[in-house]
Amino acid sequence: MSAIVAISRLATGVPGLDEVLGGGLPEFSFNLIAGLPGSGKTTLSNQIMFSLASEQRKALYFTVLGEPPLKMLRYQQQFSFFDSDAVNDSVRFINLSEEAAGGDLSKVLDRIVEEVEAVGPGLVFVDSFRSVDMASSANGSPVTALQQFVQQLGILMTSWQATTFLLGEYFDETDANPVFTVADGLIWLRQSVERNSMVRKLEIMKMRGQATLPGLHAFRIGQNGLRVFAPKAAAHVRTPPVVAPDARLSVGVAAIDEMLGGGLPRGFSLLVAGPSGSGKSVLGASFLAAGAAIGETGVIAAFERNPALGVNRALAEQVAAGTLAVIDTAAPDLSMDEVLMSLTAEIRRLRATRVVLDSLTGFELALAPTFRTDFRESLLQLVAALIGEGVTVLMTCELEDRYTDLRFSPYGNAFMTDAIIVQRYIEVESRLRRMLAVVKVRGSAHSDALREFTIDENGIQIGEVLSGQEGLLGGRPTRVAQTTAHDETVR
Amino acid sequence: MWVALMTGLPASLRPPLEHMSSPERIRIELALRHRAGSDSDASATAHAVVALWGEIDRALLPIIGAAGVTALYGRSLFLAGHAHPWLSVWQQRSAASVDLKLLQSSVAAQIPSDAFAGACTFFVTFHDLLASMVGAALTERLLHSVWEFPTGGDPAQEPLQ
Repeated sequence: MSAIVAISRLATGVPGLDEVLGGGLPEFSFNLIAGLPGSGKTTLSNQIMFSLASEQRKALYFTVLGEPPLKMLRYQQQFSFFDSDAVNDSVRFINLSEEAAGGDLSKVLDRIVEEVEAVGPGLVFVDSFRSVDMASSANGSPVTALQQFVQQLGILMTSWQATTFLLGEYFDETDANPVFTVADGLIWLRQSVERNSMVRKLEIMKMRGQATLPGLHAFRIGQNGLRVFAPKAAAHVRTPPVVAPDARLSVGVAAIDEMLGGGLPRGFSLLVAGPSGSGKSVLGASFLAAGAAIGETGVIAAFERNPALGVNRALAEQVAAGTLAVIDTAAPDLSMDEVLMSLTAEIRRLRATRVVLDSLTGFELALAPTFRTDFRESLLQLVAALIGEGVTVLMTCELEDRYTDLRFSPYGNAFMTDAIIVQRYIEVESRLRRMLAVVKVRGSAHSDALREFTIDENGIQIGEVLSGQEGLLGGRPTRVAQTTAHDETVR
Repeated sequence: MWVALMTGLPASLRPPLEHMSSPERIRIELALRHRAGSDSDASATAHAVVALWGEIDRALLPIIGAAGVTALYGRSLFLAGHAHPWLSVWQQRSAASVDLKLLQSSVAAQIPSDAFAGACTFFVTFHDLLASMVGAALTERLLHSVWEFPTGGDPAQEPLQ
């Protein structure tokens, strides 16, 4: 027999929260849920309660002086998790406003103890804590009375063989509140405002006995309650699937496959960089269509206002056939983790092998300002996590044509991609023409030729090697005196 | 008769005319009749009102607190008073607690048919008010036991509460 107590962890029913908590809520833990008014404390509590409450694990929800219970019941039932049939059965709401209004905190405590002993619940919620503080102050009681009350409540809660929650309307995290010490878990809900955007964030400041995911994690409150966007890379570091080193994917254009040295190696990330209108999205669509042609499925996150999806019939057909998933990128103030969570869910649902991010420029603009500063780092994590899912990724990147230097990405992310294709405009004989080149294919031979290309109703058509010209990267090539017939080389 | 009195009232202030023959009203009438007796006088109806309210209070007080219950009580009387003005004659708008004795004597002072109709309108109004706040499903969940009573016996023989 093991001498170590086994702590079971409860699945909270809040998507993403269990990952952030490090595997769920420890049973019989005493938790503080803190945050400003409107930060989602009551919703989080109700969501956890309705998810966990059962005939065997009854829940008591004490309302003290916060939101009037009628209002709480009215608004909480707007969420899909609210189950009217559970009320007065596995879930009981108990109002303590009369006891708290008198300012005598011992009456509040007595009543809580009385109800807990009568019901023997597995879950106890007290909503909310700051209300008690204010009631106490209004009565002229010393602050220490409140501290004693909370500490006593905390100690009692620990001994009830119940998983307990104390909601705090407002806390100063630097406050040396004794309840912080008593609590096993401290979940802090925040609202981060930057310019016109507001992003909800959650932090597990403490959770005894288990490794939580540190940092602030974005969450949304929607019809189904809270949804936490746990960083996938940290939560599930997957070992990339072993693939044959010579497994290559067609990008849908035979000549580009040839330039890549026989296609794009499976599990690679490919960056397609180029100026506006150069054909990046067309290549992305071609990459997905090539997969569909051999029975592979794909996922696209189109951040452009008029994504290729709208004009590409092949993509629309794939969506209709259910072989291509489109990530909703229209939600305001996105976070990288939210996009990754959506991508991962669709990849797993479709067992997808190809992912297109179109484009990184639009992606950055779709993020809430608070996440843009870390775009480069989080993009690195996102791509790593996607590769970890076993997919091959094609990203497009808007690149302002600069004829004085050769750059592939304004995000400095060229180093982290396995392959790069660059597209540019050139002026030849008073015409604006397109050219592309394979800049990099990690660990593989590839063409170093600059090839002219056109786009027609069948997609990208690769032309001849632009031989006999020089200064192509400067945008205004000049004809050289002597040319060789076939100067494409493969290194 | 009282319908004419309500002409021109905003919709939010009208008692639940649309529910006057609704299953809810029928259920509430049965519950009240069961407690008052089949050939009851106004005094028996008044007793039944007190008994029924006591059950509502027991069901709701632990959940929404005395302040919540009192607020719903006052609002229901105010709304029902448009149809039965005698219901709101004595009402204190900002009463801190429910004064059942006042309601009981007011009901008892009416002719039997008005007393019963007014009491029914009050409970139907209360039911609809709560349902508008927390939804029909949860209202049913909370008040189900109040409207239900054992079937099979002669209601008139049930002891008055």
